Amino acid sequence: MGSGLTIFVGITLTFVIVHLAPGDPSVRFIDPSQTLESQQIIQKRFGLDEPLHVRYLKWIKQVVCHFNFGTSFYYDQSTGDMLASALYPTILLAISALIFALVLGILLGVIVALRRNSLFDHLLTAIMMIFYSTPTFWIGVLFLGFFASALGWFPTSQMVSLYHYKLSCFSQVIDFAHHLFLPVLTLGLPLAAVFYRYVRSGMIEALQSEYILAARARGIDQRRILFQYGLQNSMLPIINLLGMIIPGLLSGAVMVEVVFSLPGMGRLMVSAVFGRDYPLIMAANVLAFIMVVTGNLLADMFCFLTDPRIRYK
Amino acid sequence: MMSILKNIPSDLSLKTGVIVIVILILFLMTGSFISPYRPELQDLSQTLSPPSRGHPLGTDFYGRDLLTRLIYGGRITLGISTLATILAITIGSVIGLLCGFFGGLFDLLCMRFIDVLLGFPRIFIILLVIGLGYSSLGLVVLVMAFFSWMEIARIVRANVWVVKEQLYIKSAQALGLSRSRVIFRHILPNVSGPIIVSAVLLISSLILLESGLSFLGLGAQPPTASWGTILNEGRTDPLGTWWISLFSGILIIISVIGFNLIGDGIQNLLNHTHPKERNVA
Repeated sequence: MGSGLTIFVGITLTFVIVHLAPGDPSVRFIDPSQTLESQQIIQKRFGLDEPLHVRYLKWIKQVVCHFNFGTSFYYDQSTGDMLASALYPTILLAISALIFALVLGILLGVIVALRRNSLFDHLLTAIMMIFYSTPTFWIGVLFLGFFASALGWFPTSQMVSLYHYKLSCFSQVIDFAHHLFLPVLTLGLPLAAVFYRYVRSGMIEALQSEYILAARARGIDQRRILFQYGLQNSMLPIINLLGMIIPGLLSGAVMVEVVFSLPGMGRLMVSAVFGRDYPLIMAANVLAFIMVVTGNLLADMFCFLTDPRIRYK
Repeated sequence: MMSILKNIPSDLSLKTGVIVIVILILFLMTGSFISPYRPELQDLSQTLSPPSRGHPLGTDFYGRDLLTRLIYGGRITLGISTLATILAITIGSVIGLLCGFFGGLFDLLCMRFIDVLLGFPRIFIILLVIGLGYSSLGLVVLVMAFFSWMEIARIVRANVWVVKEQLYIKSAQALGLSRSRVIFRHILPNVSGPIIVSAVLLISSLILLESGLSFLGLGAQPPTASWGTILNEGRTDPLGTWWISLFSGILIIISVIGFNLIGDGIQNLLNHTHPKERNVA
């Protein structure tokens, strides 16, 4: 209920911003020598001649009753179809980056917490701080320039090779991974740095606590103490953080898609904004909102499942 | 607050951060007196020349001295990040204070609104506003501020919640002090620690955001330089004209790390001086 309201208010706000913004999409389709009438014909075709509230009500009715997000001004395709095909690269990128970041951040955080204040700890913490403080797109540009252009180890753009569909099933997967490796690394490393910080400090605190001491005294296996007793408690802030991270993950994906020319939602959104393609902008925003709200619900559910204090309330 | 000032030397990360940022600001303030060039001066006989005696950090595509442009660009970058932070902190603190103090319907509506704003993927909405509007630095500051105050409002509200139940607030109210006096003179100073921490951390995240916006072509417009736009100019050939993106990138990283260290340091000090506050934020 609350999240439905959030989506509704957000979309309405977006609609008002988009349609009140200065500039006219119809200008893109005519050259300055043409008459005012031809511009008005285009405006009428796009429905831009009507006042704001009429446009809004029409749009809402279209979306709610027919689940139709309109036709793109520029591509003359259904925006729903365009987004459906742009959705999976973005989701794939975001989820792979999240998993990569979780695994790397937790693993390094636990290892370092055991060797606190060693050279390894200081070195890794410094490296992670640099990843955390670098603009994501620049990491991408450097990876692209170094590993893809100069060394030629990875492809420079797109999700799959041109001959992808001629490959066998196994090579298709390899081809996919080969294309996604650098984008996932770019999006995942700064995030891993965030997780690393939380896990490291959480583990250090946990290792000094009395319940770990008690577990040690009872002679429980070291590995079990670490991953079951220590990690479980230091994971809670991260799980709570997940809901906050999802909008940021989506924002980061936009940058990474632009750098690596992936055919995802971010790139579609960027081109839609610069082309003043109102229906496409609105459809992309609705989708982004739904993704964020769904992500938050999933994060809440995950919290509920993992934290007994919330579960038994 | 005074205890924090006295404790600055005792916290290593705070000390390092303050030194880094002070050096950086001194460099940005005095640099233009040392450098003989103007940031927009073009020397077309020396385009894209690597670092040399005449141009210590090299030149860009139009033969402009990179060091000079980095100095002027840094002022823009730090200037707009700081300005947006001040704005965001003001909005966030006021809303947080009012929500925490009064509660009720106003609080409920504000928190719902914050939920909506936090649901926006920030880059989408900023792209929308700046991309569709006129790209000016003023608009960039406003938009960055308007989509960054929510966290602070939440933190302040949570802290006010705790502070307003304390005995000294009750007694201030019992003395018949006006509400605004209680809120701004008695509650605000006691929630200022978390506000300062989030302000410092916000500056560094806005420096990163600004560079991201410049990458999409929405930040400072040419010929005005910011670190983000310079970094972006170098991205077409990061290995050939390495000096353009390398030096601007390093400056961005250094400033972000500096502010992060300060934020972490203050956080540590707050936790040490007020152990009870740990559970609040």
